[in-house]
Amino acid sequence: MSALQTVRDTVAGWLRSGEIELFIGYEAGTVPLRATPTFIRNPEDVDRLIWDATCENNLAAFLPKYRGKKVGIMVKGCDSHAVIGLLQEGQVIRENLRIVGVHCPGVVDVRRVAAQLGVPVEQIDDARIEGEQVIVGEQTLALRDVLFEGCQTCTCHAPAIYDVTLGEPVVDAAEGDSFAHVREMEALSAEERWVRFAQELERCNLCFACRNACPMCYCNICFVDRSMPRWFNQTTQPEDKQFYQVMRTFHLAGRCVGCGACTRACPQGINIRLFLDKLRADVQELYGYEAGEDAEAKPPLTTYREDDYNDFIL
Amino acid sequence: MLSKKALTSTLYDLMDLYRVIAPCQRDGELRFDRVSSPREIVLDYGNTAKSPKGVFFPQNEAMIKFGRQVDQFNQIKQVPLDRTPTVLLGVRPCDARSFLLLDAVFAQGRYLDPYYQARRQNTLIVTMACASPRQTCFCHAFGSGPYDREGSDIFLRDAGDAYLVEGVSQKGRDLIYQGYLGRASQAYLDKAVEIEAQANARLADIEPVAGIEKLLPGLFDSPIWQEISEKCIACGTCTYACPTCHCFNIEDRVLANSGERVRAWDSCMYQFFTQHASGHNPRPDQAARWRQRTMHKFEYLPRNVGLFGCVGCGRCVQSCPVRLDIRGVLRRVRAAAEAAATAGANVEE
Repeated sequence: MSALQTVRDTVAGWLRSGEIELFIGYEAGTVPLRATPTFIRNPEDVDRLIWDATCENNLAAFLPKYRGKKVGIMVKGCDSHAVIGLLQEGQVIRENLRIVGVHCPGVVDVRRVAAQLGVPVEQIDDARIEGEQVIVGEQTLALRDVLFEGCQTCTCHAPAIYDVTLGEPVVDAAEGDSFAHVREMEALSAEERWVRFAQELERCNLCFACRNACPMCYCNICFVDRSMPRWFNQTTQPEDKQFYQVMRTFHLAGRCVGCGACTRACPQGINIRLFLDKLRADVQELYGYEAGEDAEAKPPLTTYREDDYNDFIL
Repeated sequence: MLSKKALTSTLYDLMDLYRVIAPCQRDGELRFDRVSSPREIVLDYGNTAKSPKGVFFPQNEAMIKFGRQVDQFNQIKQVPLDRTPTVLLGVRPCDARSFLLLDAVFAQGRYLDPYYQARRQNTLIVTMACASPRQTCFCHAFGSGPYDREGSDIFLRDAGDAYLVEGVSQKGRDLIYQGYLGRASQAYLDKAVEIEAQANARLADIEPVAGIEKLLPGLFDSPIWQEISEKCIACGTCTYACPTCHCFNIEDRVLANSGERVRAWDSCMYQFFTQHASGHNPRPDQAARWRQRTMHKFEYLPRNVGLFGCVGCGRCVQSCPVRLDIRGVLRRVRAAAEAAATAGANVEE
């Protein structure tokens, strides 16, 4: 019996015993190279569950909706840190969760596949993953060449929290690599950084897919939706888009776990994680803290230590 | 007939007379925008990620501007309507049909939108037949297809090294007669037909949409909406990609001494779309919002204006971050209606 079938049976068992009333996992989607979230309540339906490199969504984003309910979930390494983040913030209770932690070698980025083949993303009609290869029509690409950018420098392949696991352990990238893109940006002058930031956001539609895909963006009323005061307008003027991105980024300071769901959700392919990773790097440097590592840890922006970095306070 | 070699010079002539909006590369993506040279135009493409509805119904539009005088914003300035003669070149048949739905909303009946109408009345639609539909395309479920002329003023078909040019409307025919294009030989006509057959062969099987409007009212209280909407993250990407979605918000964008009243795209998928000032929200969850989205497109609009609020372009399917497929929604609706009908029939026995 395959490892996946064992997991399916385990999930069916959890459902039958009443340990969970719902399991959130992935099933095959209708668009090539992208799986879709599935919500299973009936143990007979567990055969829908799949696991492969098309399973890119961070399903932890659905957990706050099921507060108080007993829920099972499939999480990749990165997603599992989001679960820990939600535990830290009291949004889920460990006893209510049954977690299938997956050793994830990385998820495929359809835009990269398209770029390598020199075709628009929508033109990829017939594609599948076979082992370490992505087969598109007559052409074959190496899966490792078309993984999502964040996956290529991932240091958290292993699930950090789980009840059962799936998959074989994967070698992490060297510790220094994951913030290389942040260092590159930091090396630029303030003006150059502003130009790059503004350019990156030119394509932003203000659709809020990034916010909605983020497991840590669960506020009942987001600053975006406030009308009194109206913090910014719903236009695609640069200042409105920039305001939104900056504010969301700062609201995630010390909370973002670096899962990359925002970047993968963006319909315009904007490199959103670049901004978030800058803050993650800063928080690590200034407070020696990483969100989503320890369910008991208190986030630095909610606690006070005498030796806290406070050079920014006048 | 227009040979592809002669296309550039023809377009230069066109650009002397008209503002030309066509697919071009902007900010790293292919989208409809004003072009200043024919060389920017991309006609050999599938479809743009964003629909061309922004040509008539921009994502943000200032409707009035105002200035402050002492302590009141009472200097009102009208925003001039945009009547620039325009050619919208290279839209696909699905998008050409979408404008008919937008017309029903903004340019018919009791409430006429002058901003929309000014642009629409001064624009000629030159459609390019769709030679390679995607597997997410389902225009044919509406009785349309990749070679449907509906909504076009001029219709172009690929015929190898030339385009066949047809005047569909009087406006279109008038423009064609202004230049000499030459009749197409049988060889070109045959080539165009061959390409059309290849296009049709690519269309995925799908049940016709017609009739679904009768099934929906009976499903208002069905549990399918909860199942359908469970994975929706309410981001609104589908609405922004859709050529027929047209709901909007109006807000004032105020600076220190001036401001504008802006109309901006909104989405029924957003949590606060129907939030009342009292705090009550009649569509409190995603299930209610998905039910509305489906019924608006496939029941209310057909009933009110005789057109579906969907042209089957598949953009929502491509861009949805969780791959919620509207074709799957329609299948669920049909299955639920059938199940209810069978259950009802069993009860009667």
